Amino acid sequence: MLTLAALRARWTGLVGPFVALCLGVALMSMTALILVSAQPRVPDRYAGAAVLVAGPTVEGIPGTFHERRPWSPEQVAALTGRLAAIPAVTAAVPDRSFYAQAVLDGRPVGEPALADPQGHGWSSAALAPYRLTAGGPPERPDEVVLDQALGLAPGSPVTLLTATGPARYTVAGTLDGPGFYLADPVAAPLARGVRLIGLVLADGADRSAVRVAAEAVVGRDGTVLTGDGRAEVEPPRDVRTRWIGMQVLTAMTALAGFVSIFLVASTFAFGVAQRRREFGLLRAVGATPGQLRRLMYTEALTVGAVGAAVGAVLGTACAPAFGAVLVDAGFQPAGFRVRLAPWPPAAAYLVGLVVALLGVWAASRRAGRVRPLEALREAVVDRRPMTRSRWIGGIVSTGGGLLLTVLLAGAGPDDIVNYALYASMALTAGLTLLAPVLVPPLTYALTWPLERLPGATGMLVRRNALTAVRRTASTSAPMLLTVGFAVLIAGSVATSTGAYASRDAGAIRAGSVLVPAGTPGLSDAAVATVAGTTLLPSTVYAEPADGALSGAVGDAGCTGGGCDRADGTGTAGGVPVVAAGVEPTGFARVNGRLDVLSGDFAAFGGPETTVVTAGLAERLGWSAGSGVGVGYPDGTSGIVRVVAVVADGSVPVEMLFPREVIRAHDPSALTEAVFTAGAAGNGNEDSGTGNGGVDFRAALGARLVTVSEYAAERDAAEDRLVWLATLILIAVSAGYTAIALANTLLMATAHRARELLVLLRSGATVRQVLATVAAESALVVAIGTALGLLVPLVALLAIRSALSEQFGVPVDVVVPGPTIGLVVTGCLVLALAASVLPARLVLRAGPGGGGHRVE
Amino acid sequence: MRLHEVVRAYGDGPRRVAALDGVTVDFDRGTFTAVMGPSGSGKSTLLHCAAGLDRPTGGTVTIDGTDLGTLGETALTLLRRARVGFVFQSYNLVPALTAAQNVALPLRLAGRRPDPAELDATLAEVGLTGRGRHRPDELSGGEQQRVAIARALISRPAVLFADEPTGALDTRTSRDILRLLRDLVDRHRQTVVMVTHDPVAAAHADRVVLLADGRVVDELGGDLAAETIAARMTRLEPAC
Ligand SMILES: Nc1ncnc2c1ncn2[C@@H]1O[C@H](COP(=O)(O)OP(=O)(O)OP(=O)(O)O)[C@@H](O)[C@H]1O
Ligand SMILES: [Mg+2]
Repeated sequence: MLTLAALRARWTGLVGPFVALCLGVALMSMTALILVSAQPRVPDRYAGAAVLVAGPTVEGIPGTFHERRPWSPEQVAALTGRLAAIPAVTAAVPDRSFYAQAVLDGRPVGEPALADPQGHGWSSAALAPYRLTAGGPPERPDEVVLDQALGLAPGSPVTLLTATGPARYTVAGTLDGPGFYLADPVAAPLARGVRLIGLVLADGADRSAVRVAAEAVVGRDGTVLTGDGRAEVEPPRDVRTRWIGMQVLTAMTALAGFVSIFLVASTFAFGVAQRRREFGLLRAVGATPGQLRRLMYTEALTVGAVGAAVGAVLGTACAPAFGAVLVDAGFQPAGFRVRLAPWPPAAAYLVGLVVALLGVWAASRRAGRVRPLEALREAVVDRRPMTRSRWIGGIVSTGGGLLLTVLLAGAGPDDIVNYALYASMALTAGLTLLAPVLVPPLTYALTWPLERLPGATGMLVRRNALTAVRRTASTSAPMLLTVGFAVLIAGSVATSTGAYASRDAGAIRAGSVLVPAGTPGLSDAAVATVAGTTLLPSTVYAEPADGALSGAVGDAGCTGGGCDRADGTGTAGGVPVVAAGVEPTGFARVNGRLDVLSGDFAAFGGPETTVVTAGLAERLGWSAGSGVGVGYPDGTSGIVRVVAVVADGSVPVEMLFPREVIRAHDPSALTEAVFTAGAAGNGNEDSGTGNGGVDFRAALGARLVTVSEYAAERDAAEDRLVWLATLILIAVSAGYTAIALANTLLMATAHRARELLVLLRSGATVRQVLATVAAESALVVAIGTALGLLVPLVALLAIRSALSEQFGVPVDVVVPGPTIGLVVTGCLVLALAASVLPARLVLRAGPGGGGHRVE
Repeated sequence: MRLHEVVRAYGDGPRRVAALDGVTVDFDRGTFTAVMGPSGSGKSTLLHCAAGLDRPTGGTVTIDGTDLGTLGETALTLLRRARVGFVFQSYNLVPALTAAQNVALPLRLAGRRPDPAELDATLAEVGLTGRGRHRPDELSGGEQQRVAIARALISRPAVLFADEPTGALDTRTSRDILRLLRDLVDRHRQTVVMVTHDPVAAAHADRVVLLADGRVVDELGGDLAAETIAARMTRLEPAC
C-alpha cells in the first residue's frame, strides 16, 4: 500500500529512472539481438555451389582482415582438373574476378569495394543462384551479361570501366543478381589470382563423400567448405564491417548501462534529498531504517520491472529497423538481417533489474539514515551545502584530472585518447562534486544584470538560485556532463583529424592530386589523363625469412604452413603485406617524409627490387640487402632484393615495388592517386573539361583536387565511421543526461509547488511565476554549460600540445561550435518543458492551491 | 517512564546551546502531564528525547525499564512503535494516504493487517466516523489533528506524547481534543504527556511541569485551575 501510494504520489521522481531503464534495456535488447544475428553468411555469389574449395588462409596482424591467398595459375589448372574428376561433381569452376563498373550517362555507377570485384568469367555464374532473365550467355569477346537492375536490354551497348580503362560492350543477357559476366577467355587476363574453386554437384550427390574426396585432392593447399561453413569465404570487408559494428554497439551499450546506473542513482539520490521530511515522518511513526531501505528497493524494482519490460518489448520491436540502419551506416555488411530470439531481450531485462538495484543502492542507504526529527524541519536554505566527503572527493578528482591533463600534454599518439577520456572523467566528477562551491560565484556573475532589471523576476531568480545552492548544483550537474562529454568527444575527434590532415598535407610535395570519384580507384586510362607519379596499392604475400635465400638473416623460423614452398610457388599461408607500385624517382620527389634508415633508395627501380618499412623488416626478419621470397597477387611468386629500409610512416604502405611489377602481377589493381606538379582547378587546359563541356575525367571516375583536400579526404570512409561512432556515443550520453536534466528539474519544480503558490498568493500573476520558473531553468542550463565547457577546454588544449609536439606542425583546437549549439539548445528546450509544464499544472488550481494545503 | 539527568546540547564550542540541561522527571502510568515554559525553554526537545525520536547527549531515558540509550536504531524504532505515540504540532500526515490509511500506517509498518473494525473504532474515538476515506488535504486542521491522534493511539502505546496538539486550533476544537486526551487517561489508564502554552489546556492535566532554560523549575499538582497556572507562568517569563 505504502509503495503503491508513494509511487502514485511520486511519479515525477520516477519518470527519469523509468525512461532511462526503458531505453537502456531497449538498447541492450537490440544489441543482444543484433549480436546473435550477426553471424557470417554464405555470400550470394557462391550460394549455388554445394562445395567450395578455398585457398590457404593468411595471418595478418590482429585487427586486420585479409582474403585468402591465391593459387598459382598452374595450381589452379591442376586442382580444377582433379576436382572435376571427382564422381558426382558436374563442374569445378575457378572463380575469376576483376574490377568492373558500368558507366551510365557519363558517370560510373554503383561504386564497388576494391576487395569485392564485380567482374567475373561467365562460368562463375554457375556458382551463384542467379538466373538469366533475358538474352543468353556472353559468347563474343565484346559481350557482357549484367544485372537486370541496371535497366539495359539485351542488344544495347554499355561502357564498362575496368582496371585498364573504359571499353564498349554489348549486353548479351541479363541476370537477377549483381555482377558483370564476360566470356571466360576475355575475363582471364583481366582477373586477379584465383582464390576459390566452386564445385557444382549432380542432383542427389553425397556431399560428405565429395568433401572427403576434395580434401584428398587439395591437401594442405586449401580448405574444403560445405553447408554453413561456406560462410568463411565472405569478403573480409564484411568481417571487418561486422567487427567495427560490434565495437560501436558494445561501446554504446556499455555506455548506456553505465549512464543508466548513474541516472537511476542520481535521481533516486535527489529524491531522497527531497523526501527527507516524508522519510522523517515515516521514521517518527515507527518505520525502521531497514523498512525505508526496502521501500526504496521496492520502488526501484517496481519501476525497473515495468521499465525493463517495456524496454525489452520496445527493443525487440525496433531491432529489425535498427539492423537496417546499421547496414546503411556501414556498421553491418549488406544483407544483414536481425533474427528474433527470446533470450537476448530476457537477458537484457534481467540486466535492467540489476541496474535499477545498483542505482538505488546508495540512495537507499541515505534513506535509512534519515532521522525521525527531520520531519519537523524545513530545509530549503542550504546551510552546509558542502559535506566533508564532498570536499575531499571533489578536490581529489579535480587534482587527479589536472594531473592526467599534464601527462596528456606529453602523451604519445596511442595514449592521447585514453588520457583525454580519463582526465575528463576525473575533471567532470570533481566539478560535479565541487559544484556547490562553484555555483554561487557563477550564479552571481551570470545573474548580476538580472537584479538591475525593474521587475521582480530577476531578483527572484537570482535569490532562489543563490539560496538553494545544492538544488541548483544538482540540477545543473547533468547539464555539465552533457556539454562536457559532447564537446570533448566531438572536439578531440575534430582536432586530431585536422592535425593528421595537416601533417599529411605537409608531407606531400605536389601541386594537385588526381583521385577517384565514384570508383574504388583509378583505371590506367584515368591515370593517363595527367602527368605525374602514381600510387598503385595491392597485397603481396611474404614468406618469413628462413635463411635459405640471403644468409643475411638468422633463423627466424616459420610459423604454421607459411613455409611450404614448392617449385618457386607460394603454396600456403604467408604473411599478407600491404604493398604499392610506384615510380621510384617520382615517388622520392613527391614524398617529403621519406626517411631511409639503411640501404640506398636510389637503387630501387629494377623489376627485382623492393623497399620495406622498418616495422615489416623487423617482423619478418629482413634487412637491407636480403633476398626475400614474395608471393604476388596473381599466385605466382619470386625473389626480390630489399634495397632500402625506410622508417615506419614515411611511406603510406609497408612495401614498395616498381609500378610495372604490381601492374603485371595484379591486372585488377587500381591506382589510388596520381600526384602532379600542376595546380588543381585553375581553369585552363587542365580543368578536366574537354570539347563541348563534357567532363571526361568524371566519366573515367577521376577528379583533380588540391593536396590539402586529398589529405583531408584520405581515409574519408574511415573518418566517416569514426564520426558516426562519435555521434552515436554523443547521442547516447547526451540523451541520457538530457533525461536526467529534465527529470531533476521536473522533480524540483513539482517539489516547489508550495513555494510557487506562495508567489502567486503574494500577488504575482501566473505569467510572472512561469517566467520566473523558465528563467531559473535557463540559468541552470547556463551554469551547467559554463562548468561543462571547462572540462573539454582543458583536455583539448592538452591534446593540441601533444599533437603539435608530435607532428611538429601547429595544430588548431577545433571547438565544435555546431555540436555545442545543438546540445545546449536541445537541453534548454527540454529544461523549459520539464519545469514550466509542471509549474503550469501546479498553478492551474489558482492561489487557493486546491490540493496543496498539506505539503 | 523516567528521564534522569537528561542533557541535550546542540553544536559545540562557543556556539554550544544546551536545550536540556540536566532534566530529571517521571511520568507515571495513567497520568496526564502538561509541560509548560517560555518559548525556547526546551519543551519540544524534552518530548523528543522522552519519545526516543532524538538521542540525548547525556543522562538516561527509560521506558518500562528499558534504557533507550542502549538500543540500536532499529531496536529503538521497534520499541517506539510498540510503546510510544507522538502527536506533532503540525499534524505531519502522509499526504498521499487517506485518513484511514494514515491511521493504519504504524500497524502496517509493524507488519500487521489492520482490523477494519479496530480502525473504525479508533476513528470513532476521535470523532471522525465516516471521514476515513478522505485525504489530508480534504480535511480541516482540527480533523487532521484528530487523525494524527488516532494514528498515535492505534498501536495502544504505553505513553502518548503531544507537542502543542491544540496550537493551531480554535477554542472549541481545542476543548474537544483535550477532552479526548483526558478521556483516554481516565478510561484507558493511558499515560499522556502534552506540551502547551495555553493555561486552559494545561488545566486538563493532573500535573504541570514548568521548564525554563532547559531545566525543570517548578511542578504544580492537585486540582489545577487555569488562573493559577497562568499566574505561575507570568512569574516565569521575565526569568528568561
Ligand atoms: N536542531 C537544532 N540546532 C540548534 N539548536 C536547536 C535545535 N533545535 C532546538 N534548538 C535550540 O534548543 C532550544 C530549545 O528548543 P525547543 O524546540 O525544545 O524549544 P521549545 O521550548 O519547544 O520552544 P517553543 O515553545 O518555541 O516550541 C532553543 O533555544 C533552540 O534554539
Ligand atoms: Mg516547541
